[in-house]
Amino acid sequence: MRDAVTHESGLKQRNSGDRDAALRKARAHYTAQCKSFRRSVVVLIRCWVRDGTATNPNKVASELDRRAVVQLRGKKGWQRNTVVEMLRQEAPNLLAKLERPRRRYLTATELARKLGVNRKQIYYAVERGTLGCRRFGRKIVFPPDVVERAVRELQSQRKST
Amino acid sequence: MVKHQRQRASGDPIYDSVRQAARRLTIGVPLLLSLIDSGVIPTQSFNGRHKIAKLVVGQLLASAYEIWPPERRPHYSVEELRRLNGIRVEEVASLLGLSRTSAYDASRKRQIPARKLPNSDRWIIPQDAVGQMEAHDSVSLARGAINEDRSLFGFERREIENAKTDDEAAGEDLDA
Repeated sequence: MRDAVTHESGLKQRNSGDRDAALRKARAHYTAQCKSFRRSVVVLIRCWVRDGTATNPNKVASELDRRAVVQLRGKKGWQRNTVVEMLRQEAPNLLAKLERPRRRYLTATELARKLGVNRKQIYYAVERGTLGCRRFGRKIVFPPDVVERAVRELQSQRKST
Repeated sequence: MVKHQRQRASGDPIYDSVRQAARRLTIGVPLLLSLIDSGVIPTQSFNGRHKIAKLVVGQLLASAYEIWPPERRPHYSVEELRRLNGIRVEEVASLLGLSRTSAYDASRKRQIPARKLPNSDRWIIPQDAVGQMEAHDSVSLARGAINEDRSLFGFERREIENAKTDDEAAGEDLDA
């Protein structure tokens, strides 16, 4: 009798163990599929960001909705929150790029870093009038055209020397 | 029995709802309603709902350029005015590489095309303000900025050329 009971309980245990393993396997499979799906969506978003179709998370969400990309969870369509959450997990750099607008004007420090010169040299060039800038009180910023020309000028100078 | 589905309000080509207009102006709905009450923004009423002409919102945004002389102001068509949106001061600050405080200072000093709404602390700035500033800068700053005779940092070009010829002469002497 005791043997029968232990045998039965052993079977039960084995069955429950099998079920757990199957459940775990299914869960892992689902997670892997979700992950691959999310990655493919991220690749899609990266393409849109590169060609300028989507410039912020809202636009990404509306674009995903427009192209009828199915969402994993939730009945509602793609929303900003879901996009942000997904990108936070999968591609934080891309999220940072989307949330921060592209800087047009550069500060003196940024320009110095871009040109590979000292910041004092930038102020010196501004003082001499060789580098155009826009002033906001004490702050100096450089428009993109000036930056481009400065880069070109410095490259040609370095080549000639 | 025919079940009437609630139709979604279609996008009106000429009029904005209060909510849409507030979003375009980057202000809150209560402030916009107070502006409507004080008569700053004219509205039409349809079925007891305020409707604001898209053109009016665009004109309000474009009026921020009045700080510039007339020849510098951008000219918009009616369609462009209907599509013109506003951006927040913080966004302008991030585009210009300024802090939030500096951006508010700049708009107060009329360095940024912005307009303060009456009886509030809100500023409205047209979406293309930074683009317009950039266009003006590319004409005024980039042309005269880098002088042909002067190098970007330091020496005059002629000095560099003279120095080069001196070096070459010294090299020739050494060879001889």
